Amino acid sequence: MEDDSKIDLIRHLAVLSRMELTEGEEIRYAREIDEIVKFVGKISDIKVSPKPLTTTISGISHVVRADIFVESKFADALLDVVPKKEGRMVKVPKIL
Amino acid sequence: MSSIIKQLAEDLKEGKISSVDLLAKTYSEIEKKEPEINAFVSVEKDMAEKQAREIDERRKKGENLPVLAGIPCGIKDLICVSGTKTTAASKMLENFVPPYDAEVITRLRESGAVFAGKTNLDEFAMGSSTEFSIKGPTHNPADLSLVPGGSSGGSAAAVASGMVPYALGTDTGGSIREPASFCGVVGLKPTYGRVSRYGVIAYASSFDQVGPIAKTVEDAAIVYETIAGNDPKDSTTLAGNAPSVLSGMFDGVKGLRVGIPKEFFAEGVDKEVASEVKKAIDKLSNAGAIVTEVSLPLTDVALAVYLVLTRAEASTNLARYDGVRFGSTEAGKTMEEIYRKTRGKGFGVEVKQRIMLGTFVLTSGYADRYYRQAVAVRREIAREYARAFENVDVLVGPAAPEVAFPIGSKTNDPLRMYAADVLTVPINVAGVPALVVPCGKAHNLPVGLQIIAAQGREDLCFRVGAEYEKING
Repeated sequence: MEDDSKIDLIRHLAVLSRMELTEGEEIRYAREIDEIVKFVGKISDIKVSPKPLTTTISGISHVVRADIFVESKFADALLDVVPKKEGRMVKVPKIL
Repeated sequence: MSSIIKQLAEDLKEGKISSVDLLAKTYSEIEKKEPEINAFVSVEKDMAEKQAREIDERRKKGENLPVLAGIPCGIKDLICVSGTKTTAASKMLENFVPPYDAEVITRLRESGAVFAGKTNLDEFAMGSSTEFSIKGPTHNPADLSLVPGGSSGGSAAAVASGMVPYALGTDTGGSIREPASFCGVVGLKPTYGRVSRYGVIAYASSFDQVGPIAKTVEDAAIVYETIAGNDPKDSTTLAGNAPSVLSGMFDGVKGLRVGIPKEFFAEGVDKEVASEVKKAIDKLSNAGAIVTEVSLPLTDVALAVYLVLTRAEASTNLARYDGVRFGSTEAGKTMEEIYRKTRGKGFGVEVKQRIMLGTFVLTSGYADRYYRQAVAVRREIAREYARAFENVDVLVGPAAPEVAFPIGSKTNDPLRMYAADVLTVPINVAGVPALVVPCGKAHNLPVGLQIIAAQGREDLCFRVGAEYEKING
């Protein structure tokens, strides 16, 4: 990949990841991510039998719990760690 | 080596020392050594003293207390302890005080453990050296110019230097075992699902496990038994209670089938490290173990699989840090601006790189080639381990391909840094347990022997570990 297109990819990924990057970070990540992507490419050589992505590596799948409403004892405590709030609501800028 | 925890428990029971005095001794050690080692992100004196006083009072009343009661420990600062700062060594969470305990903390609390402080780590557990931390790097007690390994480097260094008798770490790709190896202590990565992850700040949820770091195999087993078992709050935990590992721990290795994966001694593994591990295997053989060579050909691709999957999971897990609900925040006129500024400033250099790589492998057009393929290869690797365990009881090899390296030597070369985990990540990929015990020295630095067993067979890891520790004196 050419250097410019590597930087373009990093800028695109930064937008998708919702992160502001400095110019220095863009240059660093362009190099690092290019190297890592080349390295991980070796997995495509392995023959596999595709399986659904719904189990854990220990074999557990489809864990459900009863659909019962339970009042959280942490509701107020969780609101205490919100950076900006108004009353019992999380405060954010206008979205519409 | 005999159990330090049991000795301390005996001393506390007999009244030779009180929990309050034991804690004071711990803090005196921390004050003496911490300026050089930097193993802790924070110490919580008031909370710990309150815990110690309560244990002393209960003991005075004649209460029969669990073995961990009144004994101080370190907790990796990725694990939520109610009312104390839990930072993940990140600017993003530098002032975050969780309102609840992780399940492992609840279990330790019920056993009377005293939380001396929160130990240092790589930011969000993403690293192999404990250098990527807002608190600065932790130094290896064996040589202060070297890294302690990571990401649970603070826990390993605190135990190795004698500041605390045990600590909790977490292990996503070797974060308990590599530091245990580099610092010369014992560390266990349990079977995936054996220990609850509830209240543990998530990095890569299909890999993350909490485990003990201690000076002796028996101490690690005591802590493991305390924290292991099903938790309805973590639906990935295995059903039922965890089987005891202490009961058969001293049964020896006579007749036990020990497999040596030849790929664990391939090119890239330091010759002196390999030689020390081979000496340890000879000792197990002399003690009656039946040693055979085995092959795990997919070892070579396990690191690549791990890099794809953990980054994908990290990019998803860390999406929650948005500057709106908790953690640090930056001002912005729009939601998008708040997100971008908060995440840009709040995450460190390695974390941002992993989030972006994870975003890349999940991007439409690349997800099949990278993410889905890695999931499928992961299953092949797990099958390879399962097949190996049809013929052997445990697999034994080095924990790391090298000894501790100089601070700053790999921070700008990620692939070289990740290579330090090449012998630990396959175990997380396969979801099996592995115990690391110190086995001699290479280049005058600690080497770790890694004992791997089938899923759910931590008992075999501890049995072999205890025997090796006994032989080695």
